[in-house]
Amino acid sequence: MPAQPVADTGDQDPLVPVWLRVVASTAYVPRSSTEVRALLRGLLGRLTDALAAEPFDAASGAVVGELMVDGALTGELTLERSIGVLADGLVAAGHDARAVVRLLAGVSAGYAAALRKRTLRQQENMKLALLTAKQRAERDRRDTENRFRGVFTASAIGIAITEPDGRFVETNPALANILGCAADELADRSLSDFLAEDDAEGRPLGPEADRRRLRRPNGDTAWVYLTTTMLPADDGRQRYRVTMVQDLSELQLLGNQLSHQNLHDALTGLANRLHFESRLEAMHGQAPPGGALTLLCLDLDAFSLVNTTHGHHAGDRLLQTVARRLSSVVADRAALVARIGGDEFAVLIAHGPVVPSVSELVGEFNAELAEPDYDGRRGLAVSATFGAVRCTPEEMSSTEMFRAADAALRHARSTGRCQWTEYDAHADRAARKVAAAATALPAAWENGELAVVYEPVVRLADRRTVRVRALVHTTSTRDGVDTATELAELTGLAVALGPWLVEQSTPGLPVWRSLFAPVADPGEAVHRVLLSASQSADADLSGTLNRAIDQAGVPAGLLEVGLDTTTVLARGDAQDNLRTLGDIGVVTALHGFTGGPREIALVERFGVRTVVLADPFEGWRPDWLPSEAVPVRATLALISELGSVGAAVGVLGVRDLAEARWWADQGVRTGEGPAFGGPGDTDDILARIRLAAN
Amino acid sequence: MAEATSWVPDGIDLDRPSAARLYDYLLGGAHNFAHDRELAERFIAAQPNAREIARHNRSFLRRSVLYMVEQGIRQFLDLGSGIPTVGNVHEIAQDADPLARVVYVDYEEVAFAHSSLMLADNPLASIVQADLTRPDDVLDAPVTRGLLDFDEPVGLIMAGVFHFVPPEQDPARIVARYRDAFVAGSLLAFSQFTRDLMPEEMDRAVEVMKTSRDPMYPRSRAEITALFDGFDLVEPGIVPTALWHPETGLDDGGDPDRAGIFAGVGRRR
Repeated sequence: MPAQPVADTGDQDPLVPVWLRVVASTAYVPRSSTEVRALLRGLLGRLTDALAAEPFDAASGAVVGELMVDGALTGELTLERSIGVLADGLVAAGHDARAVVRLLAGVSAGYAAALRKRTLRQQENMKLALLTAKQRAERDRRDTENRFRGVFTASAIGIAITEPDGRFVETNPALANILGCAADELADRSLSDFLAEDDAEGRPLGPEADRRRLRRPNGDTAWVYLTTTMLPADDGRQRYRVTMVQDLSELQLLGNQLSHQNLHDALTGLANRLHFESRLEAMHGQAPPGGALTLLCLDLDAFSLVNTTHGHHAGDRLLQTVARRLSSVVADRAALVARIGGDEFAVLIAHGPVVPSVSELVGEFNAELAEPDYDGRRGLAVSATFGAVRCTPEEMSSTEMFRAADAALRHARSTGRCQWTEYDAHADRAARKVAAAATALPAAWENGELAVVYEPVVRLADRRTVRVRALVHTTSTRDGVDTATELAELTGLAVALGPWLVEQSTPGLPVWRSLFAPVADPGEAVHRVLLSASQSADADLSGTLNRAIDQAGVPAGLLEVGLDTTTVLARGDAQDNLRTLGDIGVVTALHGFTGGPREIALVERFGVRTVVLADPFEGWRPDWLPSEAVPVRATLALISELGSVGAAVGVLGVRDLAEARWWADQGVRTGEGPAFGGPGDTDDILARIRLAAN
Repeated sequence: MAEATSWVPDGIDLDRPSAARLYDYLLGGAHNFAHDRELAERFIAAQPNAREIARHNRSFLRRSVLYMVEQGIRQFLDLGSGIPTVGNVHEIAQDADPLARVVYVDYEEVAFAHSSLMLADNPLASIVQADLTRPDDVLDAPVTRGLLDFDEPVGLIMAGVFHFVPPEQDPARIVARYRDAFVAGSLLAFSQFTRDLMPEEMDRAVEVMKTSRDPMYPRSRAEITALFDGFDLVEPGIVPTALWHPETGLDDGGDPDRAGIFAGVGRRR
């Protein structure tokens, strides 16, 4: 703090420019010369006032010393030279020399004490900075170590870290397994102890994979691939060797088994899915031009019920029966039957000149399946749901056929049990889009084709952007961005996608803060994440958030996290998450909120700060609905109810400014949607906000 | 596998003094360690004017930032900002306009950690941990992208830092990369050690700094002028720090040729 200048008597004290020269030549003072001059004039005023006071006021000296330190008049020689010019000047101005000496001694003492305090404070900051840097480095090191540890212990390849003479320093469980030893028996031994006698001709191990024979303690031998590389130590010298040991016999055994299993379903003896696909391709290729092919995919109805009520043995038996009967139906046709899933089968028929209708075929299969199968006491029969596709080889490729039959099956299943549907290209298109997007998502994630985009969250009262919501966007499809998380929910990817979204988007927190903190209401978040059902119940949620906030280095209250209301109502772990969010200090929110009494109770009980409404008018524009309509009145009551328990209300999907105005009039705090430009990447959002600001 | 770790993080080598902490000591700060102070004393023995030089350089930084503010600049990129002592760019700029934005850049762990702590409550100033000789790292950092508007002129500050960039790193290329990232009208404030002014003292100082982690490479006026390629130098051109827009009463004492550092400001064409 700069010193308050005392009232200027009007006469410029001749000491001020002299003192200023001393200060300017000895210290860096981060101010203009006018400011420095005013500071010195103020200090000088205090000194002359103290000398004039009755009784003489020696304590003022210490204050002036402190103010010199506060004003950064702290060069190596600043104090000494200042005391020099002040002593000469004050005595020359007629003050009592003894009083001047005592006063300036006070200045020195105050200066020394303040400087000491400043030094200690700076060193304290330095220590804190070092500690922070240390913690960061430690955390990075721990993460690396943990990743390495995970790979090391989980690897199916044996890994040995050895001294240059070959003695084991560290080994992983897979190595002990390959060597046929307990892990603790490996201490002080080396890999060469295990090389078979005829193999130990001293060929040195190197970075090329080398086929060697091992002898296990029990006398067995095993072929392995050995690969050795050197690990440099800190001083750059090569200190350790790393040897990878791959068990060839295990690989070969596995390989044989796999090729056998690759083609056959062990339980029914039918072709499995993989085999079926290649056979389908072959039969499709061999069919004569214009020859009809029928592919049926079928799914046993309520099969899991058989398993749970009569046991897996009964279930297995039933599957074998179904396999036999399906085969018998097509026994005298050119056909292939396969088991393509747990209770899913496929039948491919290459028709001759007479082509029965699909419904006749399905009828035949159903009749055969409906016959009960007796295992002594109990008769079990099943029905099945069928999806069918019929075409010539010119009309569809084999993969398209398989996909079409599968789509028809799913469509049939959605209409109930014991149904059949023939492939309908039109009905399929819509379902196909969703399914394709859902299944493409995990691959898109693997390929890094997912990106984070941001949707502006606007304060409806003045329509200023005060927050952004982070969303997952797939760059591979042109689909609406908001659906990525919903699709992920279908494939089970969502649980992984939640932490990913948080980790990817939170480094931007300082940026959003710099943009929104000046305009947002105090205590409001600048960054919103809405989690899907499975993400809301994720047990690691608080850990993910803690790490992200820690790394972003900003207060937790800048982040708003919304959980799925239905999930929180239904699941205790989601409620735990809601409670923990509050403890961490992030702004808690619920979305998909429909306003039942239990939902409102949640808001009050957990002190939820924001409630994002599920679309209460099912797609209707609220500003076009009559104000006395029941849904409108109920929604208004809900908004006021939520206000009374302290929650701010937000809406999504606001279409245009008219709708935004309507919601604003009803007391809704924030809105998102096409009205405000929709989602964009960081640069987009920054550009838009700057545009709006200009 | 790892040996017992010391208290000080990996990558922070307190036994090797750093220029940032030496500079802090010369300005009277306490953000330094025994090895830094020992180096500083040897530096002062080699170049008795060291404190004055540090003071003049810091004062040039302040005047150049104020000049940029006068010219309408409201966003700054301070490369090699070091350990914040008194009179940091954001303090100067935000004192003039509270909405001024500042991005600091330093690669040293302690400087980064310290600045982060100091700036924790300042939404309009932040630090990027990056090596200024790798401009893409600096320019692509999310903090840089977020705080700076690349469509508006920027105040680019390279004060007392390029004498740590060796010739083989091609300083001209580095400056050019930053220049090309910003629009016309952006300003560059630059200062660095030179042999032109006090050759004997400078040679001794270079010798002293060879033992630190930041050896020094003084440059001539001609070499420094060449770095301003694509910029129009603002009056009075490349001059000793004390002569660049000096302020009466503060910068006009003493012999400007003893400033040891050349400084200049240029406007991007």
